[in-house]
Amino acid sequence: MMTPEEKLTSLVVKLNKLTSLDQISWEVEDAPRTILRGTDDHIPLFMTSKYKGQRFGLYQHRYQSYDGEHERFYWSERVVLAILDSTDRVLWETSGQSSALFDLFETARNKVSNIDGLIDDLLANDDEH
Amino acid sequence: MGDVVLTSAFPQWVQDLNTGLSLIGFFITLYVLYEVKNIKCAFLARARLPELIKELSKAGSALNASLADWPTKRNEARGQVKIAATLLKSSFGMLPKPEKNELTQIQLKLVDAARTFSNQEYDRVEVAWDIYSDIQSSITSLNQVAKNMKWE
Repeated sequence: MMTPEEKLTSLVVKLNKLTSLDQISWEVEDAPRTILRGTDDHIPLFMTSKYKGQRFGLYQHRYQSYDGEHERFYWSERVVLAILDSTDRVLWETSGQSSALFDLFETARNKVSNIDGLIDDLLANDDEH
Repeated sequence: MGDVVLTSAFPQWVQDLNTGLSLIGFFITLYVLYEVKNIKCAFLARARLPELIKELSKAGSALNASLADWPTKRNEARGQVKIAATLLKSSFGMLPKPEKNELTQIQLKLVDAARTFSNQEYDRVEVAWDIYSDIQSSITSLNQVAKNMKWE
């Protein structure tokens, strides 16, 4: 029987695979205000996708932590996978320091940016000259 | 010439007690040696396991990048699978038996995959994704072991 952590890893890997195989696609959107309201946090990149009727949010989340020893604040960053409802409220989220989650974010970001196509296009222009 | 008989200053029952206590001490010494070995392994695991998980995660991420360009990057992927198999094998000495048995199965699968990556079955990227999934599953298990160690 799978533990909750194993189930979560399987879900993240599955979303990563579906993204890589273009079976689901991600779109860049503005981060919902419900996530940032009441905080000083920052979301540089927010992507959404739909799978099996569920709306997923995948984003970088930058937040401040306090270092008591040196009495100063410092910025940290994490990747968050969330399930959103139709009004962008977060119904569930996970944000462990998981390499599977980082890999999903990288795959989605590469697909959204179409970086391979972009570089091919730039190189093709160089060849014409 | 007659035999020389040595007599002890202690009565017989004291000598018998001494022998019995020495025997008990011997078994206690064996038990202490066993516990010291376990404590040494636990300290080694606490120090090494987080680094090993990091290195395994790097191999997984590199494999993920290769899967995006399949089968062009098959050879690079094979290298990462080999690294992952070696890292998993080096973790065995730090793991409790249930996790060790589970990860042994995954490690053998990775070794076999690295050996047969050129085969036709790996032309399909879905099969390579199964290998990536196994690596992530092993990272999850190792993370749980590392968390449990904090309580020991």
